[in-house]
Amino acid sequence: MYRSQQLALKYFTAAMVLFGIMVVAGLLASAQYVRDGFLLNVLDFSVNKTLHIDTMIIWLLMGFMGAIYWFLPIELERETEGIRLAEVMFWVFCAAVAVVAAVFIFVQYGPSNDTTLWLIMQGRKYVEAPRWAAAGITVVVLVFVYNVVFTAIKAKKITGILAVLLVDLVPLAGLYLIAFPSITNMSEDLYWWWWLVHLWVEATWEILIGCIMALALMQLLGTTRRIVETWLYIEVALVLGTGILGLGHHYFWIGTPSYWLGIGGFFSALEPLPLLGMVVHAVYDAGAHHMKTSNKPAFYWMMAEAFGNFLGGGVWGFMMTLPQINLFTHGTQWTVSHGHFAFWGAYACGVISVIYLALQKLRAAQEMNGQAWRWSFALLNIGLIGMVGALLVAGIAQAFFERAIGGSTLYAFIAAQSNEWFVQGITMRLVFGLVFAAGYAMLMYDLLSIGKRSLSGETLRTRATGSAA
Amino acid sequence: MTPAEMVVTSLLLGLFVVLAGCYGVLFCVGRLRANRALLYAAYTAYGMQAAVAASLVLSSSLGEWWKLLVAASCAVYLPIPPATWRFLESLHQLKEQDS
Amino acid sequence: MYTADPAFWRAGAISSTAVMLIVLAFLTVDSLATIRPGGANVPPYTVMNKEIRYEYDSDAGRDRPVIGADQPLFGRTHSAEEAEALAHKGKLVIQSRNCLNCHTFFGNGAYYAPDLTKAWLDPAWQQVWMPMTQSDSREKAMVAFLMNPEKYPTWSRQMPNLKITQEEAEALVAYLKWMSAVETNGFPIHFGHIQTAN
Repeated sequence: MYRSQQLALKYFTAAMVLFGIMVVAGLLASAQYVRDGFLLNVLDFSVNKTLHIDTMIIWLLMGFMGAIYWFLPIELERETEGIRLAEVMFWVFCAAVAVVAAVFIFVQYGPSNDTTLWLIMQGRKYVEAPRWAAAGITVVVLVFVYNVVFTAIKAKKITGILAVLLVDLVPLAGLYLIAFPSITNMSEDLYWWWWLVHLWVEATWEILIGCIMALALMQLLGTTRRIVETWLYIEVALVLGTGILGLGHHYFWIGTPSYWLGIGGFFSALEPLPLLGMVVHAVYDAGAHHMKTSNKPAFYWMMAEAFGNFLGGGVWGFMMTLPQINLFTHGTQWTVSHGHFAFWGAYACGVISVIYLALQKLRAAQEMNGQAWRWSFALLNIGLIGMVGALLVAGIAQAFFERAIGGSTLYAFIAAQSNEWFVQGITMRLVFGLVFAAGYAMLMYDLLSIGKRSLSGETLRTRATGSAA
Repeated sequence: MTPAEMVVTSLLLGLFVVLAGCYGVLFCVGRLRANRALLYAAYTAYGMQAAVAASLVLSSSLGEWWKLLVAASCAVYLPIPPATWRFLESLHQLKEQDS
Repeated sequence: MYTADPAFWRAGAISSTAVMLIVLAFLTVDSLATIRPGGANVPPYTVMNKEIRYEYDSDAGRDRPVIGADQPLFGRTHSAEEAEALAHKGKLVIQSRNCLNCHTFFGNGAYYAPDLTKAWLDPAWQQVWMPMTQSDSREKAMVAFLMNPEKYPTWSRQMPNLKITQEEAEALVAYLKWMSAVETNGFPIHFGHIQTAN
């Protein structure tokens, strides 16, 4: 195994730990909706939510980096360049994340000056981390880009997939610089902030996960390079063709010109089209191989990726993207419903799929199967869909009672939050969050043990009967 | 747009895309298994999608350009699964030829 | 068949991305001009010295901010430099206290606490908080609340005490007043007015 792949396993481990912290923080925040005063002035909602969304971003990033460190030496048939530096940067990354989390939990906020921004809290969503940490993350990402670029240079070789990846890493890294400035004008702050968030999760990250899935498909199903490459180029064309100006769907209400209503709404409405193509492609792949694969969990999670992306991003997004509708749904639990579904489907499922692929190689398992992965797959997806459905109910109630009827004042907000539909929805969200948490625990158990059970009765029985367990 | 219309319209928009997804999946599985019943189901799903689009165009309070967008995208969704299917088949056939 | 050639699709990916980025660049230049303080949609910070309303404009077909007569803030008329300094400070308060992870601004942030886009115009300040805090002005009631939210709750979900000083609270109030005058294409719809369901 290449050192780069060993590093990948470390990144996957760190990612899964942060996934767990994300779940805990999410449960705490959910509980604060259900029980007034829970952890008030101790761990306020803003603290739990910050931990929840930031660990999500970081665990996904670590998952992507792990996937690239895993596949890169296989693609270029040589060790990753600068691997020792990369190994050091992994620990720097983890240390920085730990310190930032500790500061978020134990210090939480500071006076309104630059020192606070540099050391404690920047207070912009997803990029709350103080500037010193943002600088650290920038260095980690730059080393990562260096690793990828110089490995290709030293190998004197480039594949289509790597070329797309390399080009994609430039804006991915560059956009992160938007995490640094503090802009007085909220309109301008949000204008640029949305470049970072949207052009990450609805553009550069889509391309990145596309590259990773292309590399994974070649391993998992033996799909030829020409097919995955062609598909990747089509995906880039469609995702960026719709997503770059689809950025405008965040520019409806922040003070920007009204032409964004038309432009943003139009391109955003087209964003589901490439996602439908991905679903068709996924079904084709599944059918062409008659669902036979030596790594069932990796395969199922990849299918979940295609469907989840379409449903969470495409369907949920389309429900709320037309400006006439968005005027009511903007900034409500409807948004939360869409966000959870889209992040899960578009990214989380893909990362989990790659981890299963890597584990198969690590444990030299002929076959990856069992009961545990099925339980975790079911619990996580049922938990997630349950949360999403519950939040949709709460979101519809909020859009209806607070915005459409209530006039969006404080008392309209209170009335909507107290409405029985809202309360039901937000309570069921916590219930399904617990289901999701159980799925996470099961996933951890499975990741730690799957493929190791080759001498266990389970697999011997499977082989004897010739049927899947 | 009244509050009730807002909720109904947004749910119809979501249903529109869900039905597009059903059409795509049923079409694919129908072709994979050469199953005519599934293909009919696929076209039924598309028919329902078109019906949803029609109700949005004829009865909703969406602006006229948005109604045009709904109608146009409904038309565009129709060839996507068959075209993607044909394309995937031709890609995989070339793979067979190569190997 | 050229569609089977990856290079065809690669060319498509490059050209569609390039075209979209160029369009985005042009729209960005125009948007930035519109949203700078003093631009078409965003008033200068000195609007904090004026009365601000939010009214339905039947020509535009949406609600729009209306700048009215002089209305000093905290009994003073702030110069351009003072107003900008107050706004700068107010924004630092928002960032240092992580307000966006409970509240929304222009609908962006978190949804545990109310949207603050038109908070300056919320009737609750006059109806509920001015009597509760025994303040003779809206801005004083806002400052009193921000400094000690636990003393003036309006429902069972409470705002935590974030150790906001008097100076910080005044800057934050000034910021919220300025923000309520930004043209948001009608968001939130009919603020302060209750509608029927059908």
